[in-house]
Amino acid sequence: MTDYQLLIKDCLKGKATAQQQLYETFAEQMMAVCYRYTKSLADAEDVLQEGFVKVFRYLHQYRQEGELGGWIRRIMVNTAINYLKQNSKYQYDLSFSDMGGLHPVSEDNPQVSMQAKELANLVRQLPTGYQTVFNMHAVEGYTHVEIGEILGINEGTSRSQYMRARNLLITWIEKHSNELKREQYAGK
Amino acid sequence: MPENDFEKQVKRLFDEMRVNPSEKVWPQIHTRVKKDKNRRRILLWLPAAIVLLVTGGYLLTSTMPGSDHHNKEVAGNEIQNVPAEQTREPLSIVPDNPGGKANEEAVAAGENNNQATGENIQNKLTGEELQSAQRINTEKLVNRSGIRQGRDRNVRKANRSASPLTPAPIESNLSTDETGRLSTVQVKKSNIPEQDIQQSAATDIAYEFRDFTGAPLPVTPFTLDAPKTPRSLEGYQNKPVVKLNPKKSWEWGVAAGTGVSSIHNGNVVNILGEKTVERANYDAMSYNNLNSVSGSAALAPQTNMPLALAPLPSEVRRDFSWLAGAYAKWKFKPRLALTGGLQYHQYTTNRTVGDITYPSNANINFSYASQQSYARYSGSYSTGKKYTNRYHFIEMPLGIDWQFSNSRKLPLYLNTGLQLSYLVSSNGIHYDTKAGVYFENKSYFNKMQGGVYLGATAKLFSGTPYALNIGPSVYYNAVNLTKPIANVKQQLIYVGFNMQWAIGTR
Repeated sequence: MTDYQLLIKDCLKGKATAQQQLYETFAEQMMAVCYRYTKSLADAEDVLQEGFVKVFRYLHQYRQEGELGGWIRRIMVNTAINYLKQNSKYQYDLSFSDMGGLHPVSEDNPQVSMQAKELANLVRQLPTGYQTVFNMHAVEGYTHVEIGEILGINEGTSRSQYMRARNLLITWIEKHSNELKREQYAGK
Repeated sequence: MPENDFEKQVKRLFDEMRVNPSEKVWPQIHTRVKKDKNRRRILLWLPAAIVLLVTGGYLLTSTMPGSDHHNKEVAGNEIQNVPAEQTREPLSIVPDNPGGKANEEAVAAGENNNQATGENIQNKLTGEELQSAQRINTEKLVNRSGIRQGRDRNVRKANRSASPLTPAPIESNLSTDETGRLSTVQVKKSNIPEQDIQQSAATDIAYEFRDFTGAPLPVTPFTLDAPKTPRSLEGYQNKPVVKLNPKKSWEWGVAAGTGVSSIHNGNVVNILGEKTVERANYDAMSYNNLNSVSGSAALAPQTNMPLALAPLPSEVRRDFSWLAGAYAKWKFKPRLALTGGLQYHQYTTNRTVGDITYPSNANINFSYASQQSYARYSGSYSTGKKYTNRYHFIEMPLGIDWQFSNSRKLPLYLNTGLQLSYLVSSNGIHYDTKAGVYFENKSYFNKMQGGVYLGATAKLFSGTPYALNIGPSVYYNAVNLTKPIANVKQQLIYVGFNMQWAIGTR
């Protein structure tokens, strides 16, 4: 029996120490997921809390076929999406605009010269609809069909939202890089 | 640059990203998990409690004085040897015998016995985690080879408590070479103690900027200049808005209920039930008897004495009723759900009857010759016994649940719909107004029944997978319980408390 299997077994028995151990093992990784989907740290912690409650509630359904981290991550993503749907302050922002056609695809593939958290902060400044679709497609690897089903939007809308988010991000990253360069020159 | 390289970079960065949650999160999770556990324990005992309640009620009603224990032995048409002295009583008008009358558990908040955590588990876990951490560090950390095998919990907790709730600010360094090109993209956590970085190496990324010679580059902080109000982007606000579809969901579980059932004669005025369903027939029969000879009472042909009238039919009284089954619910709108199910429902009523008369009075003058072979009881109940009519139904309700309250903790619903039912068996007795006897005849019942139900429920433990809907419910059987040959209108009514316990959702 592996360490994870032992840990899961103890968690299912209701041992608080094992539950805390499981939480501490994945908390930082899952907090990063929640952080990307929300606009504030408090919201991210709310999602994290809700997500871990679900993890412990449904742990008996984990079949130990895939990675435990991947299973918990899926729960976090679903919890985050539900949180956005239910939370009134995200309601307007999460409304998806139908573009009536595909947005032109940017061919830019800039070098992302920043930390993960800086990039995450840029993603969080996108409108919630863009932010959600971008996270689901670029990071979680959902297809646009799947995103459409989960969010209740058209596949085309998802694709269009994603391309807009991508273009915006690339613009911001390039702007950010240029400013850094200027500052570097000015520093010299 | 290869296609999708941007996505790959983003995914790699985000996969390795770690954010430290504040210390308050775990105690809150722990409290909620504990509450959940207690609630589940209650829910597991609830069906057992209901079964006990129903069984207890059943036993109570069947062992009450004057119950139909004796009658049940007779009911199966197996009566053969009844003493003659118990048989026929003179028919006479006897006054009616009135007969017998009838969460969440609070959990201590903030309980956190984390000090005594399982060190063994901790140490076992870290092996695999550290292997991946070592890979990351090998790639990203320069001059860092001292990754400690295993995390010391106490040191880690001490570090965490010493740090602020939000992650420590991270400085990033960028430098350019002679051509102005960015040299590397390595960033270092500059204000975190060495020990802490080693402690958290398994979960944190550390970057460091270095020039081509490997020497550390100077630190130059920068600020982001991303737009703060992205909604003002051109064309964004003017696009038509597509709303999210409501979440559709299925729920299924067990259903149960307990209450009282009675008979109604179809008269809307007597909505609470008619106690003497055969009274109209009796009155008509009495009138005919009394007026068969030019206005005077009918006389017996040989004795020339007035014919005695049959006793008044006894009251049909309310009695215990219960149901058990399964249900499924489909929430097709945020506040509306279609619900259906399959359940067993036992309706009971009781009435007072006289002694057993079959078979010694086989020659009495029945209204219908076909009744002669059935078990029967005297209509004279001066020595009356309580007889319980039981009706065993398989029911299929189909209706709509409408949520009329917004409360998340205790949503309230109105339930209404139709119910098809099939009478599996019954020991119910009918009254022959001419012969003045009660008799069994199963062929007198309409097997297929249908009706409407109306109820209100409160959803307890809402938001958990084991929600419990409980509340009052009324069912009215719109189809006559008996066939036209019985010449009596009898509609069953049930009033009680029903519950639906969800055991699965999708």
